Amino acid sequence: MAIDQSPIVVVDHLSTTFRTPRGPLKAVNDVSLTLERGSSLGIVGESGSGKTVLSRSIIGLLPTQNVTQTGTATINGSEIIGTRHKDLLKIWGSEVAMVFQDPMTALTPTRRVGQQIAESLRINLKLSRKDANLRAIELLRQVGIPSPERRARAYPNQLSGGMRQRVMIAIAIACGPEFLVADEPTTGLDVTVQAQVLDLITELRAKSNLTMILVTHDLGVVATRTDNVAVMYAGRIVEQAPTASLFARVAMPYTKGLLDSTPRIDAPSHTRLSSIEGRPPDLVNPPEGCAFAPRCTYATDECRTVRPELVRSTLDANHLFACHHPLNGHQASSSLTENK
Amino acid sequence: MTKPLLSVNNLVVTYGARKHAVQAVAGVSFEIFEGETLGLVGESGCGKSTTGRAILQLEKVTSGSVTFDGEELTSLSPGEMRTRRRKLQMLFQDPISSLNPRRKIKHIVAEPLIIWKEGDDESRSHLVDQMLLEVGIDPHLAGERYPREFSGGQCQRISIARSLVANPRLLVCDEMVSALDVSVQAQIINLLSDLKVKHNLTLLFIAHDLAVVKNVSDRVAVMYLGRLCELGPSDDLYAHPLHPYTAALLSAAVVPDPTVGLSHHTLEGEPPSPINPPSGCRFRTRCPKAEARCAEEVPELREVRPGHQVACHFPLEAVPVSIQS
Repeated sequence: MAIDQSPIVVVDHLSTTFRTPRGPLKAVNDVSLTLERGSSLGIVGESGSGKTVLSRSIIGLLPTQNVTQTGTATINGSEIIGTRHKDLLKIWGSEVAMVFQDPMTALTPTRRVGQQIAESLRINLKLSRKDANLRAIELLRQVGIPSPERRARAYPNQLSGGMRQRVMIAIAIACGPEFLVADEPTTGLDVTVQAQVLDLITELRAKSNLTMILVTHDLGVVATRTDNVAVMYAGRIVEQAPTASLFARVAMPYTKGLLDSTPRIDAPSHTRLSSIEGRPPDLVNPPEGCAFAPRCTYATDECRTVRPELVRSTLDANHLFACHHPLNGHQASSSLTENK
Repeated sequence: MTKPLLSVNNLVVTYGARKHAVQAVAGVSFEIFEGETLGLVGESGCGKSTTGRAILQLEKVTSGSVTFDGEELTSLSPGEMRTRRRKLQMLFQDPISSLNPRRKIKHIVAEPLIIWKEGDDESRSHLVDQMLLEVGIDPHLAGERYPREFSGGQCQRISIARSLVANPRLLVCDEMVSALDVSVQAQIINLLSDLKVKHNLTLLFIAHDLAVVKNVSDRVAVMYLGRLCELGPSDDLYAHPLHPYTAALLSAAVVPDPTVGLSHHTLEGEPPSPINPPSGCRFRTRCPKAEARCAEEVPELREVRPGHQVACHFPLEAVPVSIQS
């Protein structure tokens, strides 16, 4: 079999709108992106920026009521948007898997963790009960859980947060998916455990050439664990670049604001943080022009009236930004209609 | 920074009784000097919040002493303690649930003044308006509204206004910026450091985020399983940690800079249960440097460098270790 070189995930002009009592809320607004096989993309942004909704839209994991979607998203060539839940079940688990932030609510509290791993093996891989149970123990060993035979019989409440997240990862990788969405997988875990869980994900990705979207609010996690980064603000991608390029040469004032307001462990104590004044806009009544303009120190009248499109930089064709006044010598080379 | 405003001596807090007893805080001693910010870091379950609550006598202290401004707090009756609390205030992680949802903002902020029967209605409302302005909330727009109408960051500002309106001397901040987005977190950290100078406050800043603690603190104490491992000036402690646990914590922390890279000195396993803590040094089960002596003898906190204490039989050498390692 020839190695498939085509991108695994292609998202084109995707918008997701929720119907709310106050009016339509555009949580994801015209997002296009492409994921190459084996690559990893970090999606960062503050609460309400749309990062979780975007990642869930891509794999079709959103409720159908009160949600309207336009645009397309394909995984391995099959369309996700508008596909019925029943048909998506065939992809979930076997091709696509997700790790959630809170493993306590993602796991069933009344079933032993071994059974929960075995369940997807029996459904997707049609293994017998006995084989599935044996494989579940093997998976628990793979994710670094000590004495897996005993732990397989534990209920989720008998495990620590770090252990539960390892169980979630075991379920996610059970059927050998090609694409993993990890939504804040280490938020709520202690730093030493966070490092262990991220190391585990990195190791598993390397072993099976897994493509990953890592959703997080933590720029430190993104800096060290992903190849590419997309920064979201008010439902749109406002900057996207290879990780090294983004941190070396930020184009978008919002990204710079995020970086400058993050306290750093390698900065002297009492370093004054520069904060971003104000708050993100209300997505029911988004501002005209650039959504960040009301908080931006570089904003001009153009920013307040004309919405900047995501464009390529002349410095690096892989560095995209949506800003009329980019920083660090970035300049728009051409408008980006096809994000390939 | 002349005399200690608060001294905690051999503080022990036990939950439950007899065979179910858990020592959440197992003999912690430190001092906080007037005008200083002491950071207290550690992982979940290490007893850092319990320590903060025990200082305000919100938890029953099993043994040990807490001296505030020369007065022993542990022996006070609840009624006497109530009158002292005016000078000791606490800020919590969830600002929305720590504000009464059924009261207007101006009432929430005025409540401490009403309780202490300070001034008349007019002078109180003047003081409340002034306090709200100081924390960046417009009193005329916000005063008549309810907490649910505000974001987390704004609620945290209102909590700060309420805690400062009666002129406290010591603020215990328990994870007060942990639930906030980074841009808002920076606003609150900056606000707190401005108000600290203006109102001559002394702070105990409890948090799990190493970078946040370093930013706000003059000195930092590191806690593990109910005990202090290390206590020292922030910059010195972060640059040259003496305790293997501090070093492990620092190497697990990530920097938003891909050129720094990852450390490969991450700790194995997770903290043991405080119900049945290891003998001797409580960190020895995960410590790369543990020897037989660590299981037999509890290491006491001792001064190794000026102002820098460590509780370890084999402290790391005081050579400069960069956090990139």
